[in-house]
Amino acid sequence: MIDFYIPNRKNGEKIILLVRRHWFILFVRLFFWALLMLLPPILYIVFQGVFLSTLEHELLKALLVVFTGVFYLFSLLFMFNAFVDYYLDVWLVTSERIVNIEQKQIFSRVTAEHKLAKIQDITSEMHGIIPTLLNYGQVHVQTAAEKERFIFKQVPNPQEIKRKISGLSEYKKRFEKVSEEEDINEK
Amino acid sequence: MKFPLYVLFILYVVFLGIFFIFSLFHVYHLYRFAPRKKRVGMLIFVYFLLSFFIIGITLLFLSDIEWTKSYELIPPPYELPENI
Repeated sequence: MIDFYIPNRKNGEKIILLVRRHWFILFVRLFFWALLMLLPPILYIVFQGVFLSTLEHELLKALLVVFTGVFYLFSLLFMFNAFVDYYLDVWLVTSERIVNIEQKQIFSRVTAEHKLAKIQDITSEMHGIIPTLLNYGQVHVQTAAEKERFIFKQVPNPQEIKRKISGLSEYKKRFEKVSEEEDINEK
Repeated sequence: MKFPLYVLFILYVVFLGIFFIFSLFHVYHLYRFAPRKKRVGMLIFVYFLLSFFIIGITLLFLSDIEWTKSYELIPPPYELPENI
């Protein structure tokens, strides 16, 4: 069973699909910071003479050590931030609705939801060489006309996600229609 | 104008504080909003292990420095010798 925190969880509401961004998105961000962390040793090798003479002067040595220490510490923090961002940005398809939870910044978390029965149109998109090769892209979900489109960003296998949401939405619409008819008959 | 060296140490401590505040908030978010999985716990452990390793090495290098020293930032004005 998929387990994740859903705001205002309804009785009997089950998570059917939990989608995160494609792993490649996280990999690119981590790779960038890892590459940046290689910069100080490279600079040291290239400018060895300058560095050794710098270490003889106490003020410059202190500056260099503090800067390098802070640089490595914050590179690690940005790597961790990339992971947290990836891990907490999720799109949930439950038995009742689709929920988008986005950790925008450290103190900013946005949650949006749409009922499955209100979905009007779903489209999946894949643009570019890497997304096509790795099979990731966008899934747009349209509900009421005045509302903005609900977007599953850079998700793996967008066509499969589209197919699943479509099926669930159709099932939910049929279920609600039958319930309404039963209510009318009872009255 | 003299620049006391300990200012750099204070600056480092401030950065260390910012680092820990952000790290702890990230961990808090992971524990509050994500399912508690062993893998995530391990990742947090490795993250803090690496952080303490970096801080340890930095402090080791900083321990060699004499923080009581001050440095003149602006060089004293150059005076021409009187016999010229």
